[in-house]
Amino acid sequence: AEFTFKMQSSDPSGDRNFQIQQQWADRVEAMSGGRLAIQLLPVGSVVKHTETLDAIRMGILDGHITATGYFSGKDPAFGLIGNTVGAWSDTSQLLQYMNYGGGNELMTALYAPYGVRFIGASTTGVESLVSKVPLDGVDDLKGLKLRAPEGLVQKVFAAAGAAPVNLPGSEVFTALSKGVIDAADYTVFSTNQKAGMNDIAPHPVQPGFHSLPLIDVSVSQKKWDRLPEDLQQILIVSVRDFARDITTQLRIADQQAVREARRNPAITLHDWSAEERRKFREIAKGQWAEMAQASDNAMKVYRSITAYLEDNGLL
Amino acid sequence: MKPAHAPRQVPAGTPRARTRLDRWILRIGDLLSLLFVFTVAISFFEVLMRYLFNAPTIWVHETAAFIGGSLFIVGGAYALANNRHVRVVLVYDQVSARTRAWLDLFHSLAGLLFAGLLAWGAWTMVRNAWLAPWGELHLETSGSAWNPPFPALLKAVILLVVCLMFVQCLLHALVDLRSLRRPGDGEVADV
Amino acid sequence: MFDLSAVGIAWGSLLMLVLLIGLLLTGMQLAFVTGLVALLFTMGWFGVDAMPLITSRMYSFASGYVFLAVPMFVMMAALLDRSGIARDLFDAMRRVARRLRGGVAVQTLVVAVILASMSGVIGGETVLLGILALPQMLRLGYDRRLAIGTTCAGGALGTMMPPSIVLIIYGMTASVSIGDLFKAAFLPAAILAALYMAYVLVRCHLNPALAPLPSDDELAGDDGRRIRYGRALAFPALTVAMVLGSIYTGVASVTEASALGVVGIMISALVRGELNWAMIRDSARATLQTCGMIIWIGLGASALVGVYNLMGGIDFVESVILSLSNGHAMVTVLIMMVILLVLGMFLDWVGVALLTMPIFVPIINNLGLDPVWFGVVFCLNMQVSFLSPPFGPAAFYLKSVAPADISLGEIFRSLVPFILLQILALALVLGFPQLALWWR
Ligand code: NA
Ligand code: NA
Repeated sequence: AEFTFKMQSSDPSGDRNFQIQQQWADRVEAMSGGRLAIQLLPVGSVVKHTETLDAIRMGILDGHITATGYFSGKDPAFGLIGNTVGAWSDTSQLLQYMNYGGGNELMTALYAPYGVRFIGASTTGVESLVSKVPLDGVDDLKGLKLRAPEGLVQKVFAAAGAAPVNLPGSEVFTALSKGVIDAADYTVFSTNQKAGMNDIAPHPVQPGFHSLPLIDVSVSQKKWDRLPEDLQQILIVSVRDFARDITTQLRIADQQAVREARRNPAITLHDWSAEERRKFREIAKGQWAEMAQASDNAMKVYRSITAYLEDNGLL
Repeated sequence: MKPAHAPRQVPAGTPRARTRLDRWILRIGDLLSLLFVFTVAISFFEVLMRYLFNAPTIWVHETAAFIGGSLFIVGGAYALANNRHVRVVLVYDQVSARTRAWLDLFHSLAGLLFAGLLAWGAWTMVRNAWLAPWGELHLETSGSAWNPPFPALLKAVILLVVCLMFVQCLLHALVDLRSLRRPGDGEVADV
Repeated sequence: MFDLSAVGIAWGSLLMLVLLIGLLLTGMQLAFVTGLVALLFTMGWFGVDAMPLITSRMYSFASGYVFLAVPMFVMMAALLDRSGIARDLFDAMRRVARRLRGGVAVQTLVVAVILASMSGVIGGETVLLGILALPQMLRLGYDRRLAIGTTCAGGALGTMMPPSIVLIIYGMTASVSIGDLFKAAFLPAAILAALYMAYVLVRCHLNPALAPLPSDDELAGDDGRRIRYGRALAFPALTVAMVLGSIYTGVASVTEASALGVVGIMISALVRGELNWAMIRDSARATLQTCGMIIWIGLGASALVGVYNLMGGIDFVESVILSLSNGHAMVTVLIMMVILLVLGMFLDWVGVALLTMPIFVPIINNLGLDPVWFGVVFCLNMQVSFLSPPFGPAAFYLKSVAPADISLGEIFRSLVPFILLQILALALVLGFPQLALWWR
């Protein structure tokens, strides 16, 4: 190939997400007539997931497909846009904001100083909340011992009265099955179901309400500048298709898993009412505003997202 | 018959620092090692808070990981100071004292190169963690709800320790050179 | 500037291997060998600007929360080592098996298993048993090789029986639940210990001269002494229950459980009137030292893995293994076993884990095999690596406390039957995965 891009994913190689990303990489090579090859590396194979932005900047990696929120330690703005807890009820809302509501331009500006070129946005799916106890609204979160990833998610749950616990992902299953925690922010419903999470914690909240990560596909600005325009366009358009591809595939998997779970008398799905979702979003909004104070960029993100939500009647 | 308490036997002898810097590193390392006890204490505290009072802390995990991580790095200089890094001595033990002295010098010079290159890499890493791209001082934080600047600090610890190891290796190389000039006075290294 | 990447991944891999072994044989520090080779390849393959890759790997490795369990378990072993707990345990066991032929050797193994379920590192227990058990067996006129082998192999059980640092580091690199690994390793560890015991008993039965019984005077002496161990041992027993209990029930994460273990041993020592400042200080110091050794080997290996991955090594090794095995799952696993056993002869287990697991585990997953089972298999491989020459840590540890007339060569010769038993246990778990996965 004329150009080879080494990109690190934030998923392990056995994961379905990784395989869908691999299909995108293969398509790019085919579309470019073999001129642009993308070598996809699994999470942690070159650097830790929180270090890819620096690695691209230093020329170690050529790009990444990763959750933007991992860089909140660099700038809280990435934490806020990376997972605006409670803002989006489904994947298309987030992608609309990114592609047509100013999100892409904002991300491009945020990454520019790092020598990183933002190509496009993707996401997974609204994560379901794994729970051992029935949760039907915000009030049920009070005192709930819940595993949540660090950052905004944890803050919002804490503000809602839950007691967030730090646990590595690999310990979640054991901790849930032994009742160390009551609930866990883990991942999308289909993966939870496959991992047996819903069997040991039979009260999943689905569709979820709390977490929809922004996944960004980005490359080194230097490398990008060397690409001819047709290859640049192939990347941009293929990423837009990749986002639709992965969210659709995950949604289908979720639908099938939901059907399977409904047939299982031991599992009860909980779907929060619009009113409860609104209450949770109100709590989350307070936390967005607080996080916006943390940096100028975070304020830009806050203004952009709230303006978009208001303009489109989503608040 | 026998004493109630077995005398403690150290597997491979007591520390033998080769230079004054080594002795200082051992002394400071001894002090810093007590932080492990502190880490035990706060981890115990966390378990108590979580199970007895249903109130997990937000600071224990990250603090413990930061202290542990820093000590892991410091341990490298400490083990270098008392020559306790693991080696394969298959050939080393068979050769003459003079060859061994040459090997020692080679190891010190290789260590010098190793630490020097690391220091160079660590410098870039620390710059990225301490300065925003637009040049403003901004310590990289963990991004958690508590959000301490531990990533920036741990990276700085790495830079400090590899610089220290560079000087250590330099001084070792000088000692090795001196013992090469006076045959029969070579240092005996250890498994 | 010259570009090393022009030689291609196959020649690059070979060059890397030759450089590693060459530097290793000069007696250079293992951590520096891997680290330096990683740095040289980074420069040669990707240019000087990529240098921060190595320090970034170091940072990533050192900042992992789960690795905190390493110093905790080291500290547990250090405290155990400095208190009289292990000695009392050994003495208490004397009463159990003394009229049995080979009894002291069996007793040594029982104590080894109990110690192994308290601590998770290699070293401390081998040293302890070398001080406590080996002199007794030699005094009683036990066969030297049998006595040495029992002590050394028994001492190495610490990392097979949960808790175990080997399993922790495997769990980290393979992203598998460490709690699950501990559950899975329990029965295979017990089987390995049982194999050792059976071997000792059978050999002593066939040839009573290997293990003379203690004299009547000595037995009478033992009977005369009061048992004062019950209370003294209650707390250590409680510690074991606390550590293993909190891991198995999932009450605490492994790191927290290891901290609980340190607290437990400290309380035990306190109750026994042994806890003092010097003991804590020395243990902390020993912990820093051992961590410096273990973690830096990990840092070097992790750096090497990072560069190798960026060079395209994952795909290369995967394709080599898969083309050799022609897609047969079991052949693939057997090739991996051979690689692990050979690497285990020359490298420290941390290095082996970090070099091979990022490559092996995805293959195992793709073959549809269970990564938890493979973790146990890996752990058994590392048991062999502790005993196998030329780089056999358990032998080194024993040598450091054994009587001067016992040479390293004699220790390694004594270990041969025990290595064969380890390989037998390995074959059992390979052939019958349910030995590790029965609880699923
Ligand atoms: Na153990
Ligand atoms: Na070995």
